[in-house]
Amino acid sequence: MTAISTLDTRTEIETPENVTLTFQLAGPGSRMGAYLIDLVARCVLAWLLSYAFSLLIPVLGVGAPIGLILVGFFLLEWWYGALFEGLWQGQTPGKKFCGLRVIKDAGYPISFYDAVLRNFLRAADILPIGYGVGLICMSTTSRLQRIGDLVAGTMVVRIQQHRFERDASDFAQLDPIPATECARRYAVSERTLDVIEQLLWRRDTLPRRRVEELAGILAEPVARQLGYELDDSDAGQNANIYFLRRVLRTFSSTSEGQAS
Amino acid sequence: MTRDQFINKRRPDWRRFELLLAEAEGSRTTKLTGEQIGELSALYRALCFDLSLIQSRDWGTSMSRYLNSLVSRGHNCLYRSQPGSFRAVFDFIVAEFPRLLRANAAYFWLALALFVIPGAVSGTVVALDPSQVGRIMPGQYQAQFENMYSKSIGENSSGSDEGRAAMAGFYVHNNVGIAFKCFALGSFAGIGTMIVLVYNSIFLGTITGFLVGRGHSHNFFEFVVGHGSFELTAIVISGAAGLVLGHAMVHPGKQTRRDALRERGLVSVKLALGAGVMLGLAAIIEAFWSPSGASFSVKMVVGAALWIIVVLYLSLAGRVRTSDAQADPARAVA
Repeated sequence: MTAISTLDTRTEIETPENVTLTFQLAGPGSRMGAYLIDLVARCVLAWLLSYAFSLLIPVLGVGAPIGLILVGFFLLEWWYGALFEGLWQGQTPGKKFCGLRVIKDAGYPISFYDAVLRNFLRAADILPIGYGVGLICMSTTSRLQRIGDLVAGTMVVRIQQHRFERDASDFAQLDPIPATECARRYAVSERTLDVIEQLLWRRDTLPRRRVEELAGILAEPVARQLGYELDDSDAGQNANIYFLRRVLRTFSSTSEGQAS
Repeated sequence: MTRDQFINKRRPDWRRFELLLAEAEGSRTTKLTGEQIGELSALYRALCFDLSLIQSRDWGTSMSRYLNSLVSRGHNCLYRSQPGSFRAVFDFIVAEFPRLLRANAAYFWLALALFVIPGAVSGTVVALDPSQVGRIMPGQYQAQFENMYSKSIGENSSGSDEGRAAMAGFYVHNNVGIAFKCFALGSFAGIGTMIVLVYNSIFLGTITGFLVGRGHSHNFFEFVVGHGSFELTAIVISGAAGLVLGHAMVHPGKQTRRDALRERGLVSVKLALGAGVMLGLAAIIEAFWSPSGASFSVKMVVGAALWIIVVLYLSLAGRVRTSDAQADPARAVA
């Protein structure tokens, strides 16, 4: 896991319960996306505010609306991020849209002061131009923290919502691979099944030919290990995928599929 | 226990946990009953155990990822910090902020020196020889400032009620922004803060010296004495906040730099927020009282009273009786 976390943008946290939690850190790209959304939101709000208060000029005169508009600009400039993140579980609208959240680097939610601190220190991170300082700081810290994050002890992570469903209906109509067709050990390791599962889950998001290529790479050693003869003719190009699904059906099924 | 047995046995608990979690995470208004919270935390501990079991057994990344996301959501939910309240804001203003400032008085004095000395020097030079002002301020600004303070305060153009409200907004936008920037730039080893303090010091000192040298001191001091109390003090405090930050960065002491920053960072942001509140007050005084038509002597008396209030507030508010002092570490440092 340590090797992975240095390569990948993941970070691990040990909770008081002595379990290790893994978080996916958000990189500069996705954070910039969220920032731009917030920037647009702030501009729109500033415009709406100016427009709404300018309607009051005939009633109140010029002074008060201009004063209120300036106070509004001040709030949008300094408090937009601080208030949203402080009161809305570490998210601004942009971060929510991009599936990001600010949390403490010990894994729990940020406090109001943390939110204020990391947002006020934007004034330092934004220098000299386009978050230059912030980017340099992020690239030198293991948790991709800009100065505001370092001082407040926060980090930006992706919100992970993993489903854990082994969709039995997908495989139910398939025939299990009979033990008689396998010349060698009739078992597939859980780790291998997991890789197969991952590939099949991602079938819809990857290009078709890439899936077939990967399925081929995967199916061949599995078949060899089982001593099973892969038959190229029975399902055309999808033979490998078909085989992998049958492997899942045979060896991973929750209770009824325990053929042996 | 095989993987499948384990899944079949534990899955109802995971489902139940997911349900409770969704409810707890939902809107702020949904409150779980005490019983549900007990159930949630019991399930959370069970899930922690499940996760560590899976991590040690190599039972597949999909399952461990799923449990990881569940446990981290639960962790997020159960270790939430206390929600804020108006009571907390009130306590901050009447006690915590002045207490914190006293506990960090050294930074305040340093910031004060940085804010007073350069301005005093440049102000004295300019007051004695007004021709020197051109070194710092371009001609059009000189004319502008002279024009502003050559008339008595009451008849200034910004004296109208309309202009005042607009100016209040301007002072909030401009001055509080400067103070927060002054604080934030402390994250460059405190140097940014020092530059802001010295720059503003020289600028304000020069204007003061210039106006005094030209014989406008009467109007000038009549205008600034009132809001100066809160405004100038707050700028120094925001500077002190930036210096707290810079010091933690340069010299973390016996802690790691990371820990020092985290601990002092919280102190510094509280000081900066307190300064922000003071500047908000100063903006109101500056916009509505300072340009008002009240006579010079009234302005001076009120101004003096405001200065006394600031000094008393910062030096006395939040002090506790000596018998309680042991229980309060902040008091002991102050």
